Amino acid sequence: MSYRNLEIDSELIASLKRQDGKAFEKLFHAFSGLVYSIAMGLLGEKTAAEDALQEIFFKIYKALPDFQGEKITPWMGRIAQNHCFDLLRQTKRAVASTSMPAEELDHWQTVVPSEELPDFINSLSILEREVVILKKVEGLSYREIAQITGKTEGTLRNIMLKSLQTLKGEIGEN
Amino acid sequence: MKINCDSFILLLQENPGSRLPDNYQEHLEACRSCRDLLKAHDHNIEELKKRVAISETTKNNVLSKLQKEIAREKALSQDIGNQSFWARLNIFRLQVAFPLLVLVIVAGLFLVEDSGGSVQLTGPATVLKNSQKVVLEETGVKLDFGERISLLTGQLHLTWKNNEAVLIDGRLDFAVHKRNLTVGEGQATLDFMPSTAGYVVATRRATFTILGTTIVLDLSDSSDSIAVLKGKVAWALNDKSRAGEATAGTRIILKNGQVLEETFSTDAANMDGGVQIKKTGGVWTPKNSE
Repeated sequence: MSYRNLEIDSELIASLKRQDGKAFEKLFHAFSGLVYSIAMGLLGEKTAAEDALQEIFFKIYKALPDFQGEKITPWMGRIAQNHCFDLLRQTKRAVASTSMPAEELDHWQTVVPSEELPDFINSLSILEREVVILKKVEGLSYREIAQITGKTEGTLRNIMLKSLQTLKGEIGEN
Repeated sequence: MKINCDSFILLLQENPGSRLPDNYQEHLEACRSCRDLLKAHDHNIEELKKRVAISETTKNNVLSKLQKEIAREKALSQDIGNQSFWARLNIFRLQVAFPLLVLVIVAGLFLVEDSGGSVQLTGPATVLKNSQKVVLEETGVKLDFGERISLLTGQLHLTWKNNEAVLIDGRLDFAVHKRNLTVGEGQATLDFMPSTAGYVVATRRATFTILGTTIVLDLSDSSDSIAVLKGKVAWALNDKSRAGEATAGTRIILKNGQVLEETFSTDAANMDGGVQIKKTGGVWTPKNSE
């Protein structure tokens, strides 16, 4: 089941808010791909992404009663993104001994180049990675990505353009 | 529309995949640079899709672990709920005379020890101070050591003179001392800043001295538990009969006069810097970062 179909299933949303087990399983099957690709893209390691997937869905389960009926895709995307940013802050504790605002994370270049990701992705900043994955892998619209990242659609288009120019530059170098 | 290299890269910017309109084919045939870009784009995106895809086996394994975790959480909540009921009955029987006596003695001791010190309180919050409702904004007020105060709503930021701080969010009756915090009734999230190592959290059964950075307190009417996620804490029963240290991955449970020690995996810990706890009903849980 695609997560797109869940957006309009109000009965399922009501069951989720009651933390119904079957509904939660359905939610997991529909969204685990999206959440995992965000985690994998940002954390760069399969083991870390799998642990994060479990932790993120546990957070989602606990947060379901407070779900306000907004679009579920950006809501879950935001939880996944924030969780991964928290993990990145922890691994970068020497730099961020105090809490760092999420906005500053996009200035980071890749935390640690990952052998599990293509070189092109490794050459992008955290936010660029996230935008490329959400747009090109998950096929989200810029409006949906804006709801997850908190950036404007214009900023996101610029980020994508910059990523493509980076790719073009890499081809030129080779 | 005239197609050129600039419009081609804008097309890639907008397109989720690599399916291109027909009118771009002519430009591609003529432009090697854009052909190479498209080829590299498609190759990288396909590779990325493979690398960030989750297998069915992994998905099922994670779901299975998750369901076990949820079942544990439910069982724990139910257990604590049941215990709280009986504990409340006991407390009702015992009335308030003895705790009040203890409170008066302890408060007296702290007043003697804390004379002269204070912390700075800032909002946004509404508090009950000296029986008066006070709305606090960024400009703060002073709270003397040992003086009791009630946070009614909002977020209260306490800053000691050495710039160490704690953020309290919710409803809570408490008193602040030189390096102690005694808490009474209420429901609140407490965030201790990392530099507050050495501070003491006093409960009805024990004191916990913060030596590390991250702990989770789980306080109910019938038991206290402290789980150490990072660093360590020193603990001592109030009757001084037992004391010790708990390191990361250890949980100390004080129940019915007994001290139990458990180990747990710290993998699931997602605490960032300070002590983060939240009381909902009768249950203390880690603060949800969302």
